[in-house]
Amino acid sequence: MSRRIAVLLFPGTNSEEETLRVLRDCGGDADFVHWTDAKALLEYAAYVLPGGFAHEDRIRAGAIAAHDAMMETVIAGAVEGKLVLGICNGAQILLEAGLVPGTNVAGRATAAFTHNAPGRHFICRHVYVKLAVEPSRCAITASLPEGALIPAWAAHGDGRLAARDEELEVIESGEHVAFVYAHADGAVDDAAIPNGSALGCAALTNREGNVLAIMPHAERDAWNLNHLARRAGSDVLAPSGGSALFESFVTAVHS
Amino acid sequence: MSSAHTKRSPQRSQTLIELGSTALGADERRRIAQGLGREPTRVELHAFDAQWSEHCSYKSSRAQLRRLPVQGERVVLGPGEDAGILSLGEHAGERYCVVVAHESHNHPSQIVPFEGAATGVGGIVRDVLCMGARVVALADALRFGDVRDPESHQRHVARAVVDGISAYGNAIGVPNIAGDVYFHEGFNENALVNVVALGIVKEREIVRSFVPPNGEGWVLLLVGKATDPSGFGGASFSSLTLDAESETANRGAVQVPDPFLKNVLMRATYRVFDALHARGIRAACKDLGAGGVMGCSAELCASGGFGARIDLDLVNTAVPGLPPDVLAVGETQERMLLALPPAVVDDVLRIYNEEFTLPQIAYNARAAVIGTVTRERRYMLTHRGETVMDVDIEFLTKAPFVTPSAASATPCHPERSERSERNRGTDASDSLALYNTCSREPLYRRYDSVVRGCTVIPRGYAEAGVIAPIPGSRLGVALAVAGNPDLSGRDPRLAAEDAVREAVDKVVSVGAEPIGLTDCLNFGNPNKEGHYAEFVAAVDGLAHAARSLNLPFVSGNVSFYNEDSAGNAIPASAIVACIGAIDDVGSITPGRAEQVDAANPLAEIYL
Amino acid sequence: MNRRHETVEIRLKVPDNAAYTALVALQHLGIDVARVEHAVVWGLTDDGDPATLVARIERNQALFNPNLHAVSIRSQSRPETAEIWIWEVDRDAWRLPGRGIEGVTSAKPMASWRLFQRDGRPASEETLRRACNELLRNAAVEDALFRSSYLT
Repeated sequence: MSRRIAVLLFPGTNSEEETLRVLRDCGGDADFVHWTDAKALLEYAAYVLPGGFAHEDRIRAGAIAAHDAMMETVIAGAVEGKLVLGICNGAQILLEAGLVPGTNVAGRATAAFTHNAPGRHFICRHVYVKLAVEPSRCAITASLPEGALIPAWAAHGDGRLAARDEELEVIESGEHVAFVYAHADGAVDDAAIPNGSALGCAALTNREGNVLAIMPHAERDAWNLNHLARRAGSDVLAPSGGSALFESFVTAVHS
Repeated sequence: MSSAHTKRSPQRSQTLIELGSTALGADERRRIAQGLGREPTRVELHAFDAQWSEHCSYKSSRAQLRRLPVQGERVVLGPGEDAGILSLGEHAGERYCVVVAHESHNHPSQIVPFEGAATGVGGIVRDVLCMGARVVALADALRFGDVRDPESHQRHVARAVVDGISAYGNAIGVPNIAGDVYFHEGFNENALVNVVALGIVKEREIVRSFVPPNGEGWVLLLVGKATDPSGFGGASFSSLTLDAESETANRGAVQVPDPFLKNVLMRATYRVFDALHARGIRAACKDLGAGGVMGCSAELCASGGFGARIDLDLVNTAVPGLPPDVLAVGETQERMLLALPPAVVDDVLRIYNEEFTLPQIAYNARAAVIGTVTRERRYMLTHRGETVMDVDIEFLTKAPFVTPSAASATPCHPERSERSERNRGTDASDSLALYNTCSREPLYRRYDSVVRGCTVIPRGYAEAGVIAPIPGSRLGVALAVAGNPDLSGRDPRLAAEDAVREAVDKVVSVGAEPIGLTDCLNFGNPNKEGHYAEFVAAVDGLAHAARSLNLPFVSGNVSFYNEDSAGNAIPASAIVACIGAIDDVGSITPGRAEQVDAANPLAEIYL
Repeated sequence: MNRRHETVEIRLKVPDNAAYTALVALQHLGIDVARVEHAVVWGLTDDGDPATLVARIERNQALFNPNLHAVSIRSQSRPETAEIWIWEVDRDAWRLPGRGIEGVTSAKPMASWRLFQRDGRPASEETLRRACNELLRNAAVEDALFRSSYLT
């Protein structure tokens, strides 16, 4: 069984290098797959959609990428149970493709990571995200401790979860909100939410728990050198903080 | 023969009338005709206009800039090409260098602030990219007017400039790690947008912007966006003073940014250089800026001791039927020129056009062969089978020196001192001062400061930004900018010295060793004695401070004609960036988030 | 009180990348479209002099850039034959960005898409519906209007 992880490159992706690096540093057998090489995706066991502005977020964030040739293979793989992790723009693409929360039988989008509020601007802010479900609810978080607190950077213009009221109820009751925004001490309140996201949602999973769409970039706070709270004397090249999410992902790919 | 001649005469005089708005003086036009031994063609006149304008040739400033120190142990490449290069250190047996470029985009940003600022970032990124480097960091130094009135144009400019820098830098995925902003009514009609880009490159993989000695017969490859009429006349545009009329008339000279295309173009170019290095081939590359295809190809070839022959029909265009002068000197964004041995051209075309699908990223974007490098030192352009330009390439690329005429007896700034007086003490100014003392967090929160995952100290977490740009290495690079307009109103020399010291101090404060400087000199009209004197005084200050600290300037840019409609210069603004080296980023203290004041006036503008 | 509802179209003068991208994506989805036009349509409530509305919009630098945009006033406040209007349900999106337009008290931005078939004729109602459902609109956060259909 292949354990290979594909990091998808769409035109406009911009976070591919750090995403590949953290996966490899966490023991993953990861490689880039380029948008002209969609067929190659079939050979991979898991897919990671990195951040950026795929197809310049034309029409809506993630809308065009959700329908391109690479996503046809990703969607088919997700249905088979392959692991899929989308980060920031990758998360927006997964929502547009209907993979998360995955509550529409026809595969249509039922929610969106849409423009931040208030202000509708891009923001870049350090955040913490807290695991809001049982770790085993989502295969990708299965080896994280309960209530795991992960440092990350919110860096997006469209990160606010929005949906119709009845769908938000489904998202909440179906435990689709995998991570919520939190303070450094783990406390959860409105002040911790950088973008007005409904339910304080930082990440959504699907019913089966094999797909995770997370807005903040844990891979940008994944080595001691970029961890602002690092201890003096720690090895700055060693993975830390946000790498926990990727370690858990790689563990799930290998199990 | 004679009838053809008489037929052409009226056309030529009409051309000269049309060109009445170019920046070439009567003396320069005479000199062109003398040098050619005939009247220039329309294309040639536009070419000389672009090439000899202040923007391209620094003709008023060259002699002054020679006074700056440019040498040092760490200097790999000083001023003269698209970017300067400093030695950073060794990792895994490779010597790595920092590439740095620093430029202004003031005039375009005043007129169409979003596009002007965004294309400013786009241009500086290409300057670093074309040296063969990965682009790893950005910084911006912004000077805005009195923004207190929410309905004011100044407020609009201050908002849209940040929108533009944010939209572009975020999309291409380069972290913005340093910068500063000042508000001063001296910038009411002429904001300053200075941008800095850093790159990282292995020393043996540096790409130069001249054709190497074995380059005869090499192919010239134009890469990027399809040429369109949008940027026609940009070089001389930035050398003219702005007034209400030109704000309207010059809109056509402002570029449309395409960060999506740039994102792909950057990554494709990394791939191309990697492929060339793997085959041991050192290409030449240059960014298309002012002067378009003509300016770029002429400099690339002339500085290698060659000439060039280019077929304008091979330039990919967005609209059919563009005239040869637009094809030659139009300044459409997101384009670069490579000179390559013919044997590798097909592979390079395949990477750009097929692997990275440039033609599908933007309409008719592509890599295309447009000409060849010639032994004969002529610069020749053909269009539809006709030669539309044929000149000595040295004559074209070496603009005559101009010593600004100190004759125009502009008094040395009564308006300046008056303005400075006004700026102190009154209640109104006190409240503008609040804008200068509050946290800048609402502004820089709009910039992605951590993309690439290499950021050690993000923007706002210390006086300087720090990155560890080489994966697996502890080597770090620090970057800071400085330049205080309140000081320069009193003493431009002192202000320039202070800018050097402040930029250096900031880099030292995060634990880095300062290794080099860049400057962007934003001043008034060099033909006015008072304005020019400020420039000269500032260069004195920069030279003195840099020498006393034993630091070289490795890159820089001069922006003149920054004045208001009444002819008052902006506060003299020598803006300095300092680059610092860190042997082990583990040795420095992590940055700390700023405390954001509850009532921050910038929040109203930026959040 | 001289309050009126106006429909104003702002269209790019430079090539519209979104229209080109939408065309390619719709064709990829197997939807029979040969040409796509794109604009932003504003539903405005205006207290000012109708004769000066265009001038007032053109003065607003946050909304309109003469280097890039052409502005026109629509005679009808509903989509034309081949046109879809799509807007965000969230009323926060209806706040005027940056500086408001003098005299204008509310403004609702809508994406306008016009779809045409291979023979140049306006796309059918069924084509508009498919384009809307499969690409142009995210039903979770957007409403749409075309011809007789109002999609919420």
